[in-house]
Order: sequence, then C-alpha cells, then structure tokens
Amino acid sequence: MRLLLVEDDPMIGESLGEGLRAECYAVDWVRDGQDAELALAGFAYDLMLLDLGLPGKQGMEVLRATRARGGDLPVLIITARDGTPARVEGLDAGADDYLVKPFDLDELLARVRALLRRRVSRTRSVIVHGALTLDLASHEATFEGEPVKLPPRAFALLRILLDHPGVVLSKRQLEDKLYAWDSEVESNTVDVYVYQLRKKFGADFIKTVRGVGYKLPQLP
Amino acid sequence: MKTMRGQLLLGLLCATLLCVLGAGASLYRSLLEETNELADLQLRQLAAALPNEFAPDTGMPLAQDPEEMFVLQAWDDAGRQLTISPDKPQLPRYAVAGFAEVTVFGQAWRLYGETRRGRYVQVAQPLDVRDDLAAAMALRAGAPLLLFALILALLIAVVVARVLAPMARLAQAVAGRSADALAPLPVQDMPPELRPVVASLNGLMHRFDEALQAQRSFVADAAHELRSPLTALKLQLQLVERADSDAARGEALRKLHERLDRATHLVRQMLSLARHEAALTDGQLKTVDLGRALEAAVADHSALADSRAIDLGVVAPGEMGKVDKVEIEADPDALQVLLNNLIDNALRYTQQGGTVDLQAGLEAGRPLLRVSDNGPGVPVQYRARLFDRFYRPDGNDAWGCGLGLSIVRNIADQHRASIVIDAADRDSGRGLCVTVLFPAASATV
Repeated sequence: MRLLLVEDDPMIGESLGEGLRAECYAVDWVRDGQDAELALAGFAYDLMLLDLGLPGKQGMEVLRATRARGGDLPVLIITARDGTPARVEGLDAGADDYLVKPFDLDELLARVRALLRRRVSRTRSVIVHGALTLDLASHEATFEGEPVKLPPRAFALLRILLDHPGVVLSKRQLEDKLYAWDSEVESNTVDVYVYQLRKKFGADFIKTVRGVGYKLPQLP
Repeated sequence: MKTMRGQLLLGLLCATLLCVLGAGASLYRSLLEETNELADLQLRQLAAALPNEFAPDTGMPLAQDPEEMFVLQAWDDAGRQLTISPDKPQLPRYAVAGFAEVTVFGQAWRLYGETRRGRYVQVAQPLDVRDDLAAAMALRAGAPLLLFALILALLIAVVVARVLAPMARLAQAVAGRSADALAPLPVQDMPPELRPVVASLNGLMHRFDEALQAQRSFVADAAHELRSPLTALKLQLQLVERADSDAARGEALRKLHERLDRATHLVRQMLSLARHEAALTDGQLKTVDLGRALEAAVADHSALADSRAIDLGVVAPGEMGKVDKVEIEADPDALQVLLNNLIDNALRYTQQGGTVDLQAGLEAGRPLLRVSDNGPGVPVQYRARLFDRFYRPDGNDAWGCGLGLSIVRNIADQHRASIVIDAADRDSGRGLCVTVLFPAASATV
C-alpha cells in the first residue's frame, strides 16, 4: 500500500512517516501543494493524508484539483482546523475523512485501514481467502488455523494481492505499492517475496503471468 | 462633584430667587418713596385744613383711618397746647417750619409744623406706619410676582430635565453595553455639544474593539499554533512506546526531546510576546551601553554559531558615528530579548559557514542596533509581513514559531524605536539587515 503524506511541518511529517512505515505502508512525504500535485500525477497512490495549511498551494486546492480530475483516491485530511465549517468544507470538497490535530497515532492508523478497506468494499479488517486469514490491524496471518510468521514486506505484498483477487498486477505496479521513493528497490525483491509466500501457502497460491506479473487466482 | 442637573437647578433657582427679591425690594423702595411723598402731602394738607378757630377737644375727621396715625397738635401764641387728637400720644413742640424727622418714644416720626396766625400747628406721623403701608402695598403688588417666580422655577426644572435628557440617554446607551458590543453610538441623534463626546467615545470603543479583536485573533492563532508541536510530541511519544529495540527507542527519545524543545520554545516566545506588549515603567529604564549589550549577546550565542560554523561578531560603527560608547535609556532585559531574537533568526536562516555581523552606533543622533547576515535574505514582497505573528516565509527548512520578529517589534515599540529591514547586499538582494533605530531622545550621551 502506497500512501502520499502531504504535511509541511517537518516534525509531524517525520514522526507520522515513521509511524506509517512501521505498519508496512510505503510512504511518500511531500511538504507543499505543488509537490503533492506532482506526486499524484506520477503514481497511483492508495491513499492521501492531506494537511490543509500548506505553503504555496493550500491543501483544499490540492483536494479540489484531485477530485476535479476524477478518481476515487481516498483522502484523509489531517489539520489543526477544528471548526465545524472547516470539517464540512473539507468533507464536501471530497475528503473521505477528517482528523484534527493533535490526534492519536492508533486512531490515524485505524482510519487509514478503514479507508483502504472501504476502497475494496470490505467492512472488516480481516481478510479471509480460502484457508488463509489476514488480520490487518494486528498484522497476523493464519493458514489452516496455524499462525504464520511473515516478514513485513511479504505481508504487505500478500495484502495487495488479496485486495485484487483475479487481477493481474505487474511487477512494476507491485513495486510502486511496496516502496516509497526514498527506499531502495532491490531488483527481484517482488520475486523473492512471492517465493516466500509460495513456500508458506503452496506453489499454486500465486500464479505467474509470464512477461507481465502475478495474480492471485480467484477461489471457486 | 455635584450633578450638572443639580448645579443647573440650584443656580437657576437661586438666580430666580435673587431676581424676585431684587424686584420686590425695588418695588418696596419705589412704593415707600411714593407713600412718603403722598403722606407728606397729606401732612401738609392736614395742617392746612385745620380750622382757624377750634375749640379744644374737637374731634378731627381724620380719625377714620387709625392706621395712618396722624397726631395733630396746636399751640396758641401763648404756648398753650390745644389738644386735637386726644387719644394719640402727645409729641413735644418742635417749632419747625416745614418737615422734620424726630425720634420720640423710641419711634421715628415725620412731622410738619407751621405757624399760622400766631398759632403753631404740628402734624406728625410715625414712619413705621408709612413703612408698613409701603410693605403691604408692595406685598399686594408683588404677590403675582411670587406666583410667576414659582411657575418660572417649575419651567426651569422641566427645561433642565429636557435639555439633559440626551446625557441620560447617552449614559444609558453606554452603561447598557457589554464588552462585546462595541458598535459605534449614533452621533446624529445627539445635540451638537454632545457630539464631540460621542465621537470620542466611539473612537475609544473602536480602538478598544481593535485591541480586543487583536487579542482574540492572537488567542485563536496561539491555540492553532500550539496544535502542531503537540501533534508532533504525541506522535513521537507513541513511536517511543512502539520502539522494538533499545537503539530505536534511544533515537525516538532523542526526537521526542527535540519536539519538546520546540513546544517549549513556542510557549516561551508567546509569553515573551505578551510580556513585551505592555508599556514600560520608569523603574524598568536603565542606562544601557549598546556595545556591551552586543558583546554579551555574542557570548550567549557563540555556541550556537559555532555549531553552525557561522562567524558571529561585532563590527565597528564605521563612518556613521565616531563615538566610543553609545548609551541609551532602555529596559536591559527587553533589549537582551530583542537582540537574542534578532541573532537567533540570523543564525537560523544563514547557511553553514556564513557570517552574522552585529553593530551599535549613532545615525543622525539616533542610537541604533544592527544585525546583518549574508544568508539568503527575504524577498521584498515578504518583508512587510515578517512582523506578523506566526508568519513564516515559505520554503524555509529551519523551524521557528514565527514570533521572533513580532517580539522584536513589540520591544521596539516599547522603546519608541523604529525597525528598518533591508537586504544586507542591496545589489544581489541577499542577506538580511535589521536595524533598530532608537529615538534621539533616549541617548544619554
């Protein structure tokens, strides 16, 4: 899952980025409106965390421009503006949720999960796929009733695949969702994680689409 | 102080009373004069009217008016008294020819005497009678005057109340206001004399309203600005809790301290801003040597300057003022805060290896402090806003709370000093040069 964090405050941005990365989200952090627009034009993000008070281009402008271009990118506003009119304006402009600073990191993470879940029309933070159960909040996976230990990135990859069952995802798409700009992408890492997952859940768990990428076969 | 209504009523009623008394007195005087003339005439006529021959004890027809109390007497040429008014007090023979005033029986009398055909005739009347007569007449004539005076007093009371009604309305309008409702009072409804008062009141309320708005917006701004450091603190605290290794925890704690320092800095700056908003008292003013103040400031900031490899130092006043020492009357603590903020800013926004120069001197008789750097400077369009609270120019990596220059401005205002912001290098527009110009009067040399 790749998130765009738009926050001008260096300290909040740093801490928030750290908190999100610890949950295995790939986070791109930009500090003003222009950079946010550039980032949005370049990548397909799964969610945007948007501060409203930004230098240069205001957060609301970024939000309106994003909605004007269409697309259903979930947007969570994080701002110090706590007035009801500001909340109404933000939500009416197309934000999916609104969180007032100072907020609790756990609450923010829960809201992020809720928004991502809504995107793939799930109502619970637990994904069940055959004998596999994935708890997104606690980061625990169980296979045939037994807990399975997964490295964070493998967990993240599994989650991406589970969100799009039956859809072919290119290696490039998977990499984009797994890694932020600032992290080094080693070649074949996606292959390595796919190998790890197959080892745990069986060779047929993930299908290779030759020359394109991978897909999770839809269960009958 | 007495009420205006009371003073007006008292003054006007006293004036009315004085006028009535004066009118009464002058009426009485003129009536007395008239009475005297008439009575004198009467005396003469009585004397003349005495029959040439009359027997003693002949009643006189004049007795019909006992109030006027005429005493008629006659003496024959042998000096024997011929009593005419038997039941009246008998006066001695004065033997005057014409009018005279005498005092008999402790009473002032007016008498007329003449000698006719050998007989001396004397007619006398007590002056009291005349006075009483005049007083009675004056009272009769003056009674309507008193009534008019009473009506006048009532009218005065009504007029005073009517004239003063706008004052009462104004007082009510002002008293009925809360500190929130500071809309101007209507000026047009007021009499011209009160308009300047209402206009001044409106002006005062306007200034008060502005100050109140400024205060409110500051509180709102402050509440808003406090959220960011608090958010950063809370997030970092939660990251500390989540740290899974000692190394990670140590690093997270270091960052937590950083964020706490920032929150502390913000609160300190807000307090400093508020503290330097009030005017200085004479007790706070001391003689301050600006050169010394600069040296102390350099010593305070040398560690920070070293950490950023910035050359911080004092430069000679140069050609602008060949003086050994510049001393001003100032609050030394406030001046130190001012310098600290200016130097902090310069150190914060100047690149590593830069230079920050401090200068104290005189310019056209005005003492000045100058802090200039060779950093990136501030574009002209942002300079006016630099003094706004919580204003941070875009695109700065250094964190600050945007209050430093607001504090500097407040302290400068306290000392009636002006601040000039310019580029240190005017050709390239680079570097920031802040000059605080104190009024010439504050110099002690």
